Amino acid sequence: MAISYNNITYDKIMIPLRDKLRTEFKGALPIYFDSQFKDIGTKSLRIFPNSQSLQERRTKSYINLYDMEMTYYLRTNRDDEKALDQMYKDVTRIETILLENRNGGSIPYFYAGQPTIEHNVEETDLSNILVAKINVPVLYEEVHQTFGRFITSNDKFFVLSNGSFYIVEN
Amino acid sequence: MAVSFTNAWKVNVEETIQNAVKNEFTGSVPIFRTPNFKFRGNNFMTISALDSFSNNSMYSVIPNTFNLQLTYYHYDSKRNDLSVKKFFKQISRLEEVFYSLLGVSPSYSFTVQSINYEDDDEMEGFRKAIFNVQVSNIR
Repeated sequence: MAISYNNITYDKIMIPLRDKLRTEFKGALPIYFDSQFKDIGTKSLRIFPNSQSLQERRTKSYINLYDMEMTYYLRTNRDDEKALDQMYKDVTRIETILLENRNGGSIPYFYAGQPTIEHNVEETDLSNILVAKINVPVLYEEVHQTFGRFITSNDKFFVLSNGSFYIVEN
Repeated sequence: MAVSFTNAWKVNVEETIQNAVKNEFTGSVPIFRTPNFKFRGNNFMTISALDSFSNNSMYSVIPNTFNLQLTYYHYDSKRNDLSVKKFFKQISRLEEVFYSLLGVSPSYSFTVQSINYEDDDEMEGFRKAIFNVQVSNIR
């Protein structure tokens, strides 16, 4: 019998963050999930986690810290203050949305700290583009249902709830 | 008379993890212990031992802590939201499988210290999740 699990990173972290931003920007800022830049318009926001790390282990749950990175792209041929101002304006708006949604409501995530922002990031192979990175640390606690999955029958065999054996070689 | 011993790295750590993954994924995510890495398909895992140390004990048991790295390779040719979802679904499932090992024995402890996400430099299209794992075990 397969174990039951949640798609934590995607369903509990990435989707809620994206939906909050989508609600605010509507169609004006396309948002996508990937580890690499996609050329999908004048402006876009890419969301992807860098890593996750264990913060606390409890008897039947664990709390992880997810380092979420959002990369804002603005394609422009302008090399002046107006282009910069557009980027600053959008990034500040994103930051404000994050600050106003510090917890997930029905989904129990919350930010472990304030978002950090890095402007004018150089990304290789990209020209005529302004890039800013917004990092937000997100905490999420996952409760286990499966600690009692194995029932000891002797030192070597563990019986699953459907009666089949799980064997630990010894 | 030769000393009686258990190959702890192999039996207590790596094969326990291999068996758990094989049991859950039934062949769809092959998992290898290998000193020489090579690509084995579109979805696979490798186990690499990092280090181990003995914890102090006044009893006639050997408590050890093992650090190892599990790398999950996932080929993603589509690179869209759904394919990203599938990748993270596998990660969460693996994480849950590892924590389910806590039920094996009270003397067995397993923690996923961190997971780093990156694209593979060598093979284009492969996503990687690098699990840094700590196993404590008494024998």
